[in-house]
Amino acid sequence: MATIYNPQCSSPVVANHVSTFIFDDDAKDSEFNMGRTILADEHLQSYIYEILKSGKWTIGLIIGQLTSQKDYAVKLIRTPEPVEDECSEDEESASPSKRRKRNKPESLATVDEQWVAQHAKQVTRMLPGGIDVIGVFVVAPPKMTQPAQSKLRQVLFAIQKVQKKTFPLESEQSVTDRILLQVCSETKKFTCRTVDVADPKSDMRPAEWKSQSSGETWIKLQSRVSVNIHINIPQKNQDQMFFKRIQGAILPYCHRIQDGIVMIDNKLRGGQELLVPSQSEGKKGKGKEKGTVMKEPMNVKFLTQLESSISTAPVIEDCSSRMIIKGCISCRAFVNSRSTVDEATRAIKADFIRSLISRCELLSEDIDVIEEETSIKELYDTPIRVFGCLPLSTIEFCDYVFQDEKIEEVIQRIKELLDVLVTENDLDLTSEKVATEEDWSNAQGVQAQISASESTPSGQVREIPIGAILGAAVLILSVVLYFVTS
Amino acid sequence: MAAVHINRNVIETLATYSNTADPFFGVLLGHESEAGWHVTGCCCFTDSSLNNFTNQKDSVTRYLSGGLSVCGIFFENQSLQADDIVKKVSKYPLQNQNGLVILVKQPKDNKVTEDNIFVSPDQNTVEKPKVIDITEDLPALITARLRCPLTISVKVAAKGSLKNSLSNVIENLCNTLSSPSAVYRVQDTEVVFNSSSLVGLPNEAVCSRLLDLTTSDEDEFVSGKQKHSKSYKQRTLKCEVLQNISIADDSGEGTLCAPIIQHNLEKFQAVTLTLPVDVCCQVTADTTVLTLGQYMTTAICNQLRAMQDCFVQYVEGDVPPKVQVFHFQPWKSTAIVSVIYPEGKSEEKLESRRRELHSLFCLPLSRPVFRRGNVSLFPEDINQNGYLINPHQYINTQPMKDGQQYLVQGLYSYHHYMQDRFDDNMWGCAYRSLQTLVSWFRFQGYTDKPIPTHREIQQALVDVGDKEPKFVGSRQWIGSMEVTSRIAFVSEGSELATKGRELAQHFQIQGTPVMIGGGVLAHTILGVDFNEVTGDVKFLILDPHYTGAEDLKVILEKGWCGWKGMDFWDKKAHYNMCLPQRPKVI
Repeated sequence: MATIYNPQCSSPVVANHVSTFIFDDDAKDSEFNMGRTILADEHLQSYIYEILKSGKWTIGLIIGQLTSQKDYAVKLIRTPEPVEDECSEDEESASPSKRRKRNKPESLATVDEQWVAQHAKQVTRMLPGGIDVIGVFVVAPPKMTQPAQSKLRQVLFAIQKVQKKTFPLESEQSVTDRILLQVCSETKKFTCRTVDVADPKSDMRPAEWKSQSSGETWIKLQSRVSVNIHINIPQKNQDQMFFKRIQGAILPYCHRIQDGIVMIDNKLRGGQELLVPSQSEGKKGKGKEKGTVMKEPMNVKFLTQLESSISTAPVIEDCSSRMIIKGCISCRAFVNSRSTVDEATRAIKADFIRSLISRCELLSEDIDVIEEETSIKELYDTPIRVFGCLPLSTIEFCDYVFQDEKIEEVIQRIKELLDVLVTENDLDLTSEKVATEEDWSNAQGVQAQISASESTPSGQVREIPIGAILGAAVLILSVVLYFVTS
Repeated sequence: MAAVHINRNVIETLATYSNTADPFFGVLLGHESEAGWHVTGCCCFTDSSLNNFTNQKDSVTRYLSGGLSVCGIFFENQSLQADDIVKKVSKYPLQNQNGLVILVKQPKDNKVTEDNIFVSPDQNTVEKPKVIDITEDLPALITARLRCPLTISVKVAAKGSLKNSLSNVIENLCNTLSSPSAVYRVQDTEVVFNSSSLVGLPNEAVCSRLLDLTTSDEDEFVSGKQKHSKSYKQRTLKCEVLQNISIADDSGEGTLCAPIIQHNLEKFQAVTLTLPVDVCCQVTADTTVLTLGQYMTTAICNQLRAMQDCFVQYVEGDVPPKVQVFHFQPWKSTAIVSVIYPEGKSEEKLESRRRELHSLFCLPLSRPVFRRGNVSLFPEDINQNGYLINPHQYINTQPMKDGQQYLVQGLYSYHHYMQDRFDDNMWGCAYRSLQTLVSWFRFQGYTDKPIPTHREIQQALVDVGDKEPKFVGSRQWIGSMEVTSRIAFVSEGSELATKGRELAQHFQIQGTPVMIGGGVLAHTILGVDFNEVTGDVKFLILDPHYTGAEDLKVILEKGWCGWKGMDFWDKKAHYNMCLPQRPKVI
């Protein structure tokens, strides 16, 4: 086995441009302001500073964690400008970015909210459990922001709509407020408000955007979870798209995870307990561990019900295919140091579900575009998950890489979607194992065993044409357009 | 193992067994504890040949609740010499870690006493146990119950292939359950265990610790002031089965790859089945939790295989039936065996199945034991369809000095004033008492007619030409429920004292609740506490005049269900008793 690679996560550096900003005085002064408080890592301000320096108006996403008490903003990401997709014929020849035409809308008011929502969806795929797209920021002159207020609201609701559709099980999340941060490019003034996206009629409420010089302590949870799904697909669903079929197979499994319980560091714990008892931080400190340095990651075990527990009378059904999904997912989640066990549990479960759905969706986007269903037996490998560290933070991000993708494409994608510059060395490529011939033949072995015992008395295993799939590189932004236009 | 505790019931059964045609041959069933073996039942095999032994033994284990196991063997032999017994025992494939209990009967005298009981620590030696103890009941057992419906999808490729596919799926499920990834959780606690690991308690913890973790207010009341004296019987540990789907880095699965998807296009039929797993485990308080984990797994797998048998036996076309699990206590002890029946089949249709069971468990064919109505009562099931079941079981009263208690056998429901949103306060007591009697017949599986309403009872009285609705306990309208009963009269309440023996006999032989009417009041007698020598008698009364809610605490504390002395009766009134007779069926 390869040695486990640790991405080097650097601690936040105290930025020195802080003094040049004027904060939202209204929020500070008004005592009656009972809105949300968002604690923002200090380096977020330098990000905005860079944008201000560039002089371009910008819309982007706020990444962080919403909790019932306080909210945490850990990263801002510029939404890339939409592009005309010219590629896809011969990807081999040149680097994709060169052949794209940037196509920026003229102003905020003409921004397509679906464009931002698709970006949010893709970014969410790349976030670990517990970390979400929690809002939108804009940097623009007042003459542009003023007429765009209803548009910005629409953007927040559009993001929510897409998220809910993509990750149906995550909608149970308790906090439904989303943040809108507006930075005036002339006065450098911050205005922060929130809106409840679960309620279409809700009003914008003032909120406090508070820069935190000492970085937040984040607790990392991790687990490796096996997926083992065998499902018979009824004839009546025969005409479904490939992704619908996969979805039909994985959603019950996701529900089992959702309804299951977890053990954290090999203990079952009460949901209301603090994940890390508060006094231990100060006392255990031993001098060197302070502030943003993480403790050892906590190991999580998932305990789920066996099979489905819905009781039915026996029914016979005609089936048209059989699907087996088998393998292992590397799960990671991050929660703030004041989190309860319940919050941590929700975060790591969300990570599993997000990861399983994301990779199946990526796979089927790939297949539905390129492949036609011809073969009798199809074998696919889902992309593997790789991790990296958000700059100036201990929080990680991830990406999904198909076997035939080049590392440059991954680095390019991370830059494009997360606005994070990484090199190959910054990435942990070993958290998941790529399927090998052996894994494939093992999977077939399972099948052979089943069919031998169930149907074919001769026990013959048919030759399986290992699908000539996964041919083309996936250009995420082309998919954006694919979705936007369809 | 040093000590053998054997239920008197088993000795009596085996002593009288010689009359039947089958060979005197079979296995002993029991629980294992620090104190040795507790033999609680026996199974008679129809075939003493070696070839069929394993098959017959396997078919027995499918019925056993967790913790109950084949712990020995009984047979006939000319000699009681250890050497001769060894020769015979060593032939049978009976492996047991803690040795076997052996009961040998000599054909010449047909006696079964302590002299006939041996132990075999391994297959090659036979010796007398250090202690032989013939007892009335098992030691206090802790019951753990796991209920978890599992839905499976089974491929049916061709006609008749269901059996094989089903067997594969079920064996796979058993493999999963037997692997370390399957764990049990005690509900509402932080304890997770299986046969090899325990989380939330130290590894050597015993099952009584689990009970301590699950105390509730209700238990406080039920066990009352006599702490823990009876509480084991009256509390069930509820467990659930979970699968640990996380992968430890050091396990062999550590090298699993990212998920791969295999999609096979083929046309076939699949049948979706629910396995309504409902498993009981009974263990002594000093059994380790890890052992409970092992019993649990064994019991679940046994039950899954029993369900498979039931699916296959009652399949119609390609569609297997829906199946149900029933727990019975066939012996005069708390030990449980579980039987799977197909849903929707009448008791008549299942009679041959019950006949097999009676014969297997060496039970007489004179009364039902395995009818669905005979199920054993769990503390959590005390309230069913709005009626309390057997409230008297929760009374904590010491028996009368030198008295012997004779109680109703089986379950009944408590019917009293104001139930069913029907105001019969001051006049309906006889109707309610009758409803309790009918409920007993329903629970024992003698009838599946619903409990009659007041109106239906009146109608029945009119139908048989009897106009006096106050006249209760007549042969005719009990007879209309296909039940015969005996009527006893006493002209004065004080004479009831002389009825002690008669009632004791009634409860011993018939075991039905008795209705008693005197003056304008009717009551139900559920048992007597009778002193043979002095003739002192106390009555266990269920009072239908209660008007409150189904609150066990109130009912017991205020004596709506409780033991009454002679002063309970009106000395001057004329009483008559209805003693229902049970039909001779199984």
